[in-house]
Amino acid sequence: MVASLVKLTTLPNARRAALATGIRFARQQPASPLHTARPLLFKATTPKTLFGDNVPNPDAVPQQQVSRTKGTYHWMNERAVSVLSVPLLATAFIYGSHPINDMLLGIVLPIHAYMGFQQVLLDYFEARRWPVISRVLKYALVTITGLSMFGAWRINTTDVGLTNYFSRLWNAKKTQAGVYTADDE
Amino acid sequence: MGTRRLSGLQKDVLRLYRDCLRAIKTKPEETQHRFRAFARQEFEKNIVSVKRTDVRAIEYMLRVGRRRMEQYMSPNVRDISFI
Amino acid sequence: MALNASLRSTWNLSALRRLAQRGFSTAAVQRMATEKPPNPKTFKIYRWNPDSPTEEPRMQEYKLDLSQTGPMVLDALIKIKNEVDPTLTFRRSCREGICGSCAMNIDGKNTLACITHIPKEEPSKDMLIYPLPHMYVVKDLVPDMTYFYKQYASIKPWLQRKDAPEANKEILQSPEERKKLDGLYECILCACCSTACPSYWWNQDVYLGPSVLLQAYRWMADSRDQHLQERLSQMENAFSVYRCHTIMNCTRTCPKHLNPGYAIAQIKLLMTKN
Repeated sequence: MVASLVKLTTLPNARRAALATGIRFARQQPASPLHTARPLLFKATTPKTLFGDNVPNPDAVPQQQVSRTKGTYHWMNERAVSVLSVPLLATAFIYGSHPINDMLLGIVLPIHAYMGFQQVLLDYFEARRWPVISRVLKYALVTITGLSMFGAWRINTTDVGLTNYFSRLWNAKKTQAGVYTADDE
Repeated sequence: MGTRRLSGLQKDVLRLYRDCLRAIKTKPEETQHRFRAFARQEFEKNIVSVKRTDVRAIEYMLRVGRRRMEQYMSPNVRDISFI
Repeated sequence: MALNASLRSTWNLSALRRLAQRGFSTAAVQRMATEKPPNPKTFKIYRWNPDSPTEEPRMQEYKLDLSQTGPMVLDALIKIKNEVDPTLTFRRSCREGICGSCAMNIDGKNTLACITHIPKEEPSKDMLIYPLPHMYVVKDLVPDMTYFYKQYASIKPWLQRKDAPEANKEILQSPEERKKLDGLYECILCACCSTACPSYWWNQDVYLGPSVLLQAYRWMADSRDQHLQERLSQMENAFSVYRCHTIMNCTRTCPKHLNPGYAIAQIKLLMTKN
């Protein structure tokens, strides 16, 4: 509209008269270049959609690939693991050490931590921006999770079990030599 | 003949210019030369005034350039005129 | 007797004068304004000029007398623009919190300048005004909202029907169904919440942000819309919705007192049921 107003001043008389009478000149060729840097806006004569050109283009933002596993199922899995860890932790706190409970804790807690850190990596080190670092960190996370699972399994099978391990860690006292030892009471 | 290694930013600028030239192909043939001259002028305008190391300023102008290109890409814009 | 008469006449004179002053509204306003004690306050405002992109952005100080200024931050900005520095640039339109144009970061909080009071009790404390955080700046306090609006367009914010209603008939809605839209339709898309969200700061290109998600839920919750499945499956990826970690900055900052965090939770709930 503004552009056509600007144009009005340099139009030949006939066309100015046509404009004044409301006749559109959308199909006509514009005159020689004008002394303005505005694009000459001519409305398309036939609207492409039902609503014309006023409807915003919904494809303007790159659409993500649809994936329920990465979307909702992943989110539900996270919740499931969180909910699962509640009775396990409650058992550990109230009942105390039990071999089956310890074994389950050794599996569920590393998975819970893994999923949490996965979200952190998605937030801060995603492949689209950090192609190399994201890959390194992803494998590092898998390795660390695997190692901690293995460690938990070792503690459960050859040592005192996870619950006892943490309670000892919690109640450890510093000796004269500066070394932490389990409180034997 | 050794090719000059371009920085990522220089590549971005060239990519924008290339996109502009491609977009101009969608315009009516008889007006394309005006669009082309306009795009060229807009790029040449800042060659001297902005230092090559001023990343922030160049990134800003890239953003503005891309936005203007998108605006002018609308099929409603069929011709351009400039000083 | 003579003294009494002269006293009475002076009294009448001043009363007359007062009456005249009240009659001329501008004079009355001036008198009222000058009666207030001066209350100076410094505004520090972010300035950046796109015409010289090589220059660093800077904070510019403006001193205003609050007794001569309107109560809202926008009043102060308009006063600065009118009387002190016409180059100061900001968006504003309705000055009553319904258009969302004047969204900016005022004293560390994203809010609308037009409905934010200037705190008068601490005039010695400078007021800091920045554009919305983590947005590209067009000029001074004007952020580039292009991508935000594109994201809004991507959720197709309009009624989508599979069957057309009968000719000349509205699509009816019960009061209960209408009630579901309360707290959603009031959103003015000022982007205060989105730009307060850390997830949106880091992943603006892929995460839709609380504001757009609240709008997405507004169309999901609408009983007249028939494209719920499509709307939900569009969100089915790791980023569009699931970058929300219920930080709830959005709800804290919303100048319209809406709850985008709750809307996102509702979307997540719908998606598990889908």
